[in-house]
Amino acid sequence: MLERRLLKHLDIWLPLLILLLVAVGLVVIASATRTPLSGLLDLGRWLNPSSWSYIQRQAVWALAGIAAGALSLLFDYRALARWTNVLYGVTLGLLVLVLFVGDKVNNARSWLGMGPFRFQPAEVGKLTLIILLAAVLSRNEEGAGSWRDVLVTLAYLAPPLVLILMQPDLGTALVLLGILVGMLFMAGMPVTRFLVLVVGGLAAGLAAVVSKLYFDAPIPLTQGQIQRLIIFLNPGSDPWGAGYQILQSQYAIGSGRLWGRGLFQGEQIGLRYLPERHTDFVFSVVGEELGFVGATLLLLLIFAALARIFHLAAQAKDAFGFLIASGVGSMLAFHVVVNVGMTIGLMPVTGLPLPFVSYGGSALLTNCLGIGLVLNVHMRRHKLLFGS
Amino acid sequence: MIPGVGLRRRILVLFLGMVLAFCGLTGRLAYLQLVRGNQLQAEARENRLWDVAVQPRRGAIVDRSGRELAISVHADSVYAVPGEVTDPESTARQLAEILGMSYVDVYQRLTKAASFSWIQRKVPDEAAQQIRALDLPGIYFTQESRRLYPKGELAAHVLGIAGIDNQGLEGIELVYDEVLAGVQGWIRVEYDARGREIPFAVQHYVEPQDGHTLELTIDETIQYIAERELDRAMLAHQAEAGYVLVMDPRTGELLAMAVRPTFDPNRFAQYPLEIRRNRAVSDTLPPGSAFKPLTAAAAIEEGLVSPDTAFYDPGYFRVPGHTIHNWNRQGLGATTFAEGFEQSANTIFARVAVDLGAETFYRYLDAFGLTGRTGVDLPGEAAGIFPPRSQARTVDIAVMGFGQTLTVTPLQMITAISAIANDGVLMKPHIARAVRNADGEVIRTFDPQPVRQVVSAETARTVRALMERVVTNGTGTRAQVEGYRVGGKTGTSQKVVEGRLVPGRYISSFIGIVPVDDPRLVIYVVIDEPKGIYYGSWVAAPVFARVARDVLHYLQVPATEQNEVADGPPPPDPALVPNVVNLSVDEAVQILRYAGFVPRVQGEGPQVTAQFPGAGVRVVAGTTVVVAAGGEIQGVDRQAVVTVPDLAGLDRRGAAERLAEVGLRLDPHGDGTAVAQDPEPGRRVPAGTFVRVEFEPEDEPPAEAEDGSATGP
Repeated sequence: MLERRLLKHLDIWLPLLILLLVAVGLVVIASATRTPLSGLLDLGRWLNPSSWSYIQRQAVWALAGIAAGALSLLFDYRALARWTNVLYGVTLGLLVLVLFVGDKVNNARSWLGMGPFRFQPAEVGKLTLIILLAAVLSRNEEGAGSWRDVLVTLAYLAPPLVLILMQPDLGTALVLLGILVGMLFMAGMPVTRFLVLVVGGLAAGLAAVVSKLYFDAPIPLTQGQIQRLIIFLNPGSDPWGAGYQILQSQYAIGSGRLWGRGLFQGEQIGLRYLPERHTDFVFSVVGEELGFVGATLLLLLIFAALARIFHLAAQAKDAFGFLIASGVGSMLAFHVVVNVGMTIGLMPVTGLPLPFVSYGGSALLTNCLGIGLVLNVHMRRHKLLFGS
Repeated sequence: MIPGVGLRRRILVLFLGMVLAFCGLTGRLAYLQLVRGNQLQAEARENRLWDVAVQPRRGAIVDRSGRELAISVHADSVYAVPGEVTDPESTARQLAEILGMSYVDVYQRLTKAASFSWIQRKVPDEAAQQIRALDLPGIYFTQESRRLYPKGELAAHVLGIAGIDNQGLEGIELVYDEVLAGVQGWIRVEYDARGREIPFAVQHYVEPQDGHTLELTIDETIQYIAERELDRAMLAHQAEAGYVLVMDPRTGELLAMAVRPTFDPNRFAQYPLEIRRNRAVSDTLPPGSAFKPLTAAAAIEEGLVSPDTAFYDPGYFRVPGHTIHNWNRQGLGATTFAEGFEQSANTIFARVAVDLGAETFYRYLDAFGLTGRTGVDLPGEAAGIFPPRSQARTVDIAVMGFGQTLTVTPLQMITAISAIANDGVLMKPHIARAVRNADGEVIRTFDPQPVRQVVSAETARTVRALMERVVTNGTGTRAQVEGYRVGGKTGTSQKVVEGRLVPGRYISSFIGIVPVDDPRLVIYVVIDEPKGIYYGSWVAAPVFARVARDVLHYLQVPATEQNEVADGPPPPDPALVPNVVNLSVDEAVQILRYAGFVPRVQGEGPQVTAQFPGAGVRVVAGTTVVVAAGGEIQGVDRQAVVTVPDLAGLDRRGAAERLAEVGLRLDPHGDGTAVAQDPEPGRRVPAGTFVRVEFEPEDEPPAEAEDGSATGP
């Protein structure tokens, strides 16, 4: 059983911030999925059960996520170090399975059906990788970050990365790379070496895209993905095609101006001009309906949560726990920057949701488990000084 | 490894990196929402707004006294919003039946991947009511206006046509489209991404401005008279085509412009373009001897001849390489210019033209407006065609002197002769008289435009005197109108096809000025390829006389002459077609000739099996009667059989209209109200048959007989 002593050490701020984010998410999803033209005070809408379906599902997933996160606290995170190979094997198995029996959504075979619910193995894959990398990088007493560490972590990363790209899910694949980079940095990799790795990686990626465009080189990216990667440079060049989402999103956000049009008042949103408005582009809904003030407040909320995660990570008693917590923090930060950047035209459209706010069950569950890990590490931060 | 100081510094670095990233995101947000917010909001709205056009009502076209020739009536158009159609199969079945469309067509329109789809535009009222009653989901109406030509074929070539979107396509409808069309209005409506209209959204309504009413110089009654007489002549002479133009020479206003064959602009799509074209302005014809007044005017103006100038006419005139003969190959001997004009001597006019010289002759062609376009406000106008003046040989000049070799449009011809009637001043012909706004106020007038003084008033008067002699003593005696002094000139020209004279195909014409001493009207009659008799004096002059008589009476031009006696035979009376079916062909031909008809035999059989027109029908003497020897009649438009209406109590106008409704022709006798008719009401006769109607004055008998067919005291 969870000892009372441990419960006393449980952080209270991070769960509160996360619950606040989930609550904001539920309200914004309600607005994003409303039938056109129905307002907040439209009673008929609220009496219609179908208008509740998205909110209900998201709420159920949130409860499941909170429960799972809470339950995970029962187990000492250090036990995970022994299970890394099993976790890794199960994850690879699920990623292979989804390629054969997965449901196809938006041209990607990313979903495994489980009764009324579906989940994405790639989401679980992110947590598995965080635990695995934490275990690998914490082995070396001298500090991590040798070229050998890079090679070993890349070797672990490659199989799930390729499987996820085969779905294809470029966004999640990029998140895996983001997690790797973040964790290598946090593991204490020498700064010059780290910079060489990051700059070299970006250059290699750029070279791959260019060679695909000009020489049709066989890289594991589809033409559509590449087009989405580069269209953000000039979305007006194809306003009804690849640039459509970017333009409509910026119209929505720009229309919000300082105070926004008010919840359930957004025109771009209400008129369904913006695709994926309850999932990937949920931030645009905030931008249009709550304006600069609301969007900035949401960003601050997220920033506070991330800062809290790293604050808690810094108190970890061992490298394994520290790396797990900062890995979760890196993953969420990467999501936030890429997702928000996408809605305001600073990042290419990669299909990453905004953590805790976007509609999407398995992502929410994964993120909750991640928060559970952070809390777990923080809760068990004290060395056993008094014996047990 | 234990997290130490170094790692905590890394967290600080990461934290700073995050702060930087969030500042970047917030900065971009501020730029989008605070700096570009206004603009993006406007662009977003622009992106969602579609303008819906509201059609204005097209202005009416009325005649010079405000009688409606073309009007617009409201009509419902049916459209579907495919997304809202719940049961496409049943909806398509019901609509297809009511609208007379195919099920497949309607179904495709109902299921189109669009937010808007026309089913049928401008549907009849009953159909719209039926569909409204069904209250089908996803089926809507919008009000548009439909063009209606209430007088049918009347002045069809002048009016032209307007298309389904109320755009002028031909005729006056095209030339004055800007005046008639009005200004389109708009409703700005916001749509959602799937094209559904948003209720209570920002809407902005710009009212359409209805088109103006265009008043023409055409007079409906004069147009009606011209068309009636042209139809009569077309039938009597089985002609290919025909024109009657009536112009007021003082202003250049066209009072009537009749063109045959014609069309019904309400059903214009059923007629070939060839028929719809206004050939009175777009086609050129050799004017023949009707051109001679212009040669005469030039020669008199140049002082080359006077009416009394002596000529010797041996019956031919030699030019290098050619010899020109008179039509009857006879010479007038020692004669005067006036007598040569009266008798239409080609030799004298050839000589006069040659004496004028090419340069002077072409100068007058230019001055009379024959080498260029008249500038009339009708589309597709052609200019006259002449041998190039640098290459004109003497023979060309000689032949042009009596109106061959050159071709001009009927409009150019009447315009040039009108200059003679207008004391030498050429007027620009026009057909629009005024533009009125919705309140009936005149907002624009089209004033008469003098082009130039072509010849002196004195020369013009001299030519008119010569023309009067043609009608009193010469070839134009059948153009005489009781009570009025008439000047005119006959024309009989050989048709020119692809630049060559075609033997056996003629154009008969007559151009006249009335009253010749104080010209009010110039009337030009052209009958293209009459069968049988083809001389202008026989074919076209009587048409002129009838038109002139009725128009002068209608315009209440006071009669000045007491005893105008027609010199030649009166215009032919309708005669009864005898039965020749079942007779031998020879016998039939003999009987028809004896009865005053021109027989034309089809087929090789020994016996007549069919005839057209049928026995017992009254048609003008001289009409071709086609008899088939074996088989049916070929190549004759066998029209429907119609029932003769009861005309009792109607006046001449009323009777004419009642008969025209069913496709019959009026043969009026007397004046006043109808008291007797033949065939009798209820009889079935072929369309086009003349119905002889006796009119008698209701009150006091008139002082003098007005019956044009009477031979006078």
